Amino acid sequence: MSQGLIQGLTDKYIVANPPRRNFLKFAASVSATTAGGMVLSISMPALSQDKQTQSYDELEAGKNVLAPNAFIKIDTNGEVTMIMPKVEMGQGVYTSLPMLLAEELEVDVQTVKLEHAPPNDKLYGDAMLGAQVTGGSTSIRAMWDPLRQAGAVCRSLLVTAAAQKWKVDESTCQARSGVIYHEASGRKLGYGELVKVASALPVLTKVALKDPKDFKVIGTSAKRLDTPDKVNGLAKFGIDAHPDKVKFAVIATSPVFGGKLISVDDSRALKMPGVLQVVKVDNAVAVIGIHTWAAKRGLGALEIKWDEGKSTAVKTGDLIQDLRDASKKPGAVAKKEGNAASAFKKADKTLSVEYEQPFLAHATMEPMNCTVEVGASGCDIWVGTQIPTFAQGMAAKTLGIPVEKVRLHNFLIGGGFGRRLEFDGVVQAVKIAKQVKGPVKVIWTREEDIQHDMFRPYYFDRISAGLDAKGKPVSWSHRIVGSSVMARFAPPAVKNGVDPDAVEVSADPPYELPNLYVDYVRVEPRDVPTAFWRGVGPTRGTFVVESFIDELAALAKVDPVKYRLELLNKTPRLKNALQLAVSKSDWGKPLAKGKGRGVSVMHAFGSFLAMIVEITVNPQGEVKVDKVVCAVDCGLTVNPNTVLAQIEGGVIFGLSAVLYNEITIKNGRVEQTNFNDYRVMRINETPVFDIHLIKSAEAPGGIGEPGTAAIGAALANAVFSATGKRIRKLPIGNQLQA
Amino acid sequence: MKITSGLMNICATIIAFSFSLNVFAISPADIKKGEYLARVGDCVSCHTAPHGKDFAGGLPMLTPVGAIYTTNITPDPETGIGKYTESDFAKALRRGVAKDGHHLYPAMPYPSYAKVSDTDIHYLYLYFKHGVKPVRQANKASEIPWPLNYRFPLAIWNAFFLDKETYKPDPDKDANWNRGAYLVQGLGHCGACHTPRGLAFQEKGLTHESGKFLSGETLEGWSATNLRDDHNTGLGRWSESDIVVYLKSGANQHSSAFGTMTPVINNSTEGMTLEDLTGMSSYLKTIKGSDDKGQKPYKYDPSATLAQFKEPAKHPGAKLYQQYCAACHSQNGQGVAPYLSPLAGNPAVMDPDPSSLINVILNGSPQLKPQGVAAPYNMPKFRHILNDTEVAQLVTFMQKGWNHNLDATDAKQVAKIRKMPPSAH
Amino acid sequence: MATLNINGTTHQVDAPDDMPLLWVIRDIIGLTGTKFGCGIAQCGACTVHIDGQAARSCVLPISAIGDKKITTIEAVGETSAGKSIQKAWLDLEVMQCGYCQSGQIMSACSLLGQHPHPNDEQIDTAMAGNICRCGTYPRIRAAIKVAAKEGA
Repeated sequence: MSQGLIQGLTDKYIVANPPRRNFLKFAASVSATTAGGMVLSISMPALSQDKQTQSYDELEAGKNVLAPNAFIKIDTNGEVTMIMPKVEMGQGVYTSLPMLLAEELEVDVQTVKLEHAPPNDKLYGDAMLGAQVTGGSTSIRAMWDPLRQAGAVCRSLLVTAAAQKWKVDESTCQARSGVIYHEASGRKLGYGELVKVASALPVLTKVALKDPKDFKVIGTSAKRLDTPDKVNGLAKFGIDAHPDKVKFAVIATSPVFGGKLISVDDSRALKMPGVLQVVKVDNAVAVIGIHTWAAKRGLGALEIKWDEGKSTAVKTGDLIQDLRDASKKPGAVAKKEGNAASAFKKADKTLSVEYEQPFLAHATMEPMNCTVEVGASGCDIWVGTQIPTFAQGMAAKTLGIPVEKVRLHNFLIGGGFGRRLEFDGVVQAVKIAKQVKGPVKVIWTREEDIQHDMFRPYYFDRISAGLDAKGKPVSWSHRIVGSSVMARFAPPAVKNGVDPDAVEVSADPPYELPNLYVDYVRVEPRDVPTAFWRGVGPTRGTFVVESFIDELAALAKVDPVKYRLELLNKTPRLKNALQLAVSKSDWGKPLAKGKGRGVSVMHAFGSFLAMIVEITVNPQGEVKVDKVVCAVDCGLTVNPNTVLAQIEGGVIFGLSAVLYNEITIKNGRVEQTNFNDYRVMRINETPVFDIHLIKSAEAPGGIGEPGTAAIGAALANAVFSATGKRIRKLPIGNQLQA
Repeated sequence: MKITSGLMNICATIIAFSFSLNVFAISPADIKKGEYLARVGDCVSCHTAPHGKDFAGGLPMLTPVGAIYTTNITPDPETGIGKYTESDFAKALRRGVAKDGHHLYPAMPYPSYAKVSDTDIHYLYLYFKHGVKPVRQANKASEIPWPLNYRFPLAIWNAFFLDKETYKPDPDKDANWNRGAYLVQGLGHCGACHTPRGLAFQEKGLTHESGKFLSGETLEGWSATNLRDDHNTGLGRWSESDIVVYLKSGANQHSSAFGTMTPVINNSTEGMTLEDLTGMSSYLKTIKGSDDKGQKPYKYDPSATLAQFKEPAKHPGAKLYQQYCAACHSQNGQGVAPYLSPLAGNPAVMDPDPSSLINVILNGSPQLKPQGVAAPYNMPKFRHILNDTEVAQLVTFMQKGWNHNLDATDAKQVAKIRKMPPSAH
Repeated sequence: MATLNINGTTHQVDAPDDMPLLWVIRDIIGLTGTKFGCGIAQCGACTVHIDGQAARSCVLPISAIGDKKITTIEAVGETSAGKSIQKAWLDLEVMQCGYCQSGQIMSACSLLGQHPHPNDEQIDTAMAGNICRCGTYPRIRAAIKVAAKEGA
């Protein structure tokens, strides 16, 4: 598979600095044909490189490959290739998942070669998500058993093969680092030497897995497999796809949501050097050029007339008013325990507040892009996507061709955060490519990327509680009002009007709350498209629940840590994490003027986090985050260093949002454009981290999102500690300025 | 005005309203002439609201006494100027008096337009009557509070400040110069922004005979630079062809258009003929400066500035400049003309009033689009990223930098401009 | 036709004067390690070296380059600063998605060229122009310090 994109490109272009042989071979793609659940033959995509494309079958002709399941191929040289069911977007799955496989296969994880999986829900679907999707912090949780099984099944075949060759009992053979040993006779055979025999054996469906105490790979901070090519520019992201004779497209989408294209005067654009063509699709115009610059300059020479439609006067305030109005009516009941309403009436003290969380863009570092060629033989798509099968299916639907005719080549992703769970960019690129001869790479400018994101919805929460004489909550009612991403993304998940994502954490707070009522009112923000965003429901829910519990502690005049600990008995792992975080922090020590300390806890994604944040608020009302102390119980840890990286990164991602970020709408269009007005945290603003992992034998939890979910309330609570001001509306922005 | 019932109707209109001129039919060429003149006058920039229809008005203009809104000048008979006769039209343009007799605020540059010839008024009238699509859009009342909104004193104002003479060519100068002077003083109304205004909002000089004419003024938080011959802050170091290139394309080797000059380029000067632009530059170059009020003639020297980048902790302005500005404008302040504006020696940077510098950092610049093609690079806004202190540090860095040696700017000046709405232009 | 010296190789490219180096490198030369992030020099993903100094290639018209030497991420490993930065980046597992890291590494190498032992202030100044959405900043700071130590 080394004739993939990397080789094709580097051979052709990097003349002065020939690359070393790539350790990671992210081959362009494979379209798998299956038999009996096994990948037997894999054909190369039509890459249109200089040399005639050879099919994988031809390349492999005369060789034998051991491929007992969809995840492993071992060739006669003993080279182990893993087909990656998930996509790497920084979260480390291109290391942690091979670790699961290598653990049972008994190979050195550093020698495993990786290939992106082709779109195939049956082979590569995530049991938790029901499809080949990377998201929701499920990768380890969903692949924990299947990948260890895959490795174990393959190892057992190799052991059986060796035993047969040597005519010894299998139990006397041992697999270690890609070799089967027979200690008694001192004989050994490499995996490659056993491929022919092993591939003729019947494949077992299930074999016994290792006892966790015997793990050699899992639980170590194995070096990442994807990074050697990321330090020298050789790693390929979707935007780096460069099929032969590719053309380049830059687009302008209707600035007003729901707007349509009326007409385009392209007379000037077509005279610009390097501009090849101007293409119209329903609500957008694309200029095709010989390079991205020509296309961009051409776009700047168009006179476009838009029908701005009915949203032309919409502003953020209108959408908030929609939510506020809807919040006055009862919603679909997500949780009802005891009788919150009557307990509220009997309470000693009560508190009712509203929280608001803004629209947010994903602003992935790699702007949206998609390269497509539509030809007689079907359609090739080169893109980094979290949803390869959906993207493939939508492309087929758009073109009206069978799904097999769409060859989707997945890539590394330059930041997902939920944005690449959507196929809008793929469908748009297909519509453009349909009108262009040969392959065309559609790149969204950063301005398009921000303004035509699918946004984390605006959420409006009303929450109230009653405390008894001791200050304990005896009544808790919470109404969540906002868009249901789930209703669009996975409609069956919405039951009785309750979007399980929208109410996550809120409907199951970790605290002992005797009378609990939680309901949900779905309100869509008119024409503004909404989507999942890092930390999904738990990011929003944790902000509200953890801010509010802090308010209750203040109302009860109890230390916020002590208040939480007293209510956390039903969630001992979370209580334990909080105690650890507190012991590692300066909690309780006096604070200098302008300094504040805030706490929050989070349980979601199968993980438990406690966070203590220290901040300084300067006299101008600007917040500097000084230190983040975090205790993490994510069950059995596959790669501790990756867990630390995800907490650090997740927190920083969350801090940008909580401190600065909001997408606002005026005249029906997004006001923000780029990193100059959608501010992202930079290195000089970054806090010091002190993260503590809790050793645990529990099932592994997700870790890509908890850091983001936990930080918001901790920071807002720290602001209260520093200034006495409650942050009930995000972002903090200039709320603290005089 | 709807052109529905053929030639007779049109002729009747013409005969009725254009008796002073020997015109008996409207030729498309004449409407075209009017369209060109409307472009020279840049009527569209002020008489169009953001996202609004061309010439339908509604743009807020900030005056020291409150916001006023530009009016609908489309030929809609109810809300526009559809019922205006040519003489009504001329009176509005040159005297600042609307058809119903009310006096226009002098934000409308009628003291400049007073210089416009009868012939040009006629072509303009034809264009606004027959070349512009009528738009039904009612005018918005001004936000000038009582009693300042009382318009009658404007008549007295006019008595003081309005020169009712049309442009008289100077026989000692050539036709090129005279054409330029006519455009600069008249339809081009350069002085409306670039000439200092007095207490009564009047321009302190309507021709080069006044020492104040085009010597720079600050309006709506933008400092329109000195267009006289001063070496540092004026056009002293610009050649005639530099001026032509700037007006045609929005940028030259010294500077790029930004802020409120951008729509002037986009809607007006980019479409002017080279002859007219040459005339304007020829005229402008003859307006003597005042030796930069005693400043030493600027000489480029980046050495002290470049040294600051080596010690960012001691030079917060240099540190900020490095992070936000240097990629385009270069550490040496030279940028990459004409794409990325030089800052060193740029008259807009050397302007003793830092308003424009502050404003362009906070609010960025609208997209320059000469000849209908967006310029390749555009100044982004930084108001969401930089606080008042940081902007002041940056501005001060540029005011001191590259041997400019100007006075420093403080955060209060930034705060003041931050509070102003970014210009609606 | 412009003549550009990229990674020691001379390239004749047919590109307009105003074209940013970024797109010449990516779309014409085909070196895709240098990334597009914002197009307004506010994220640093496109950072290359011009005569050893970090420059944002997304706003660098090729007319401004002349015969200066351009180095991209693909060749920075041939310099000693590049080598030690790349090694520290891998040793400390700095990278997550990796998209911004070409630019981070180029900025860090340029920093070490000017300040072989940078303090935190100098790191902030050199690196604050490079955005990372994955949040690898703590490790970037640490890796620069490790590289500086090992390069000494």
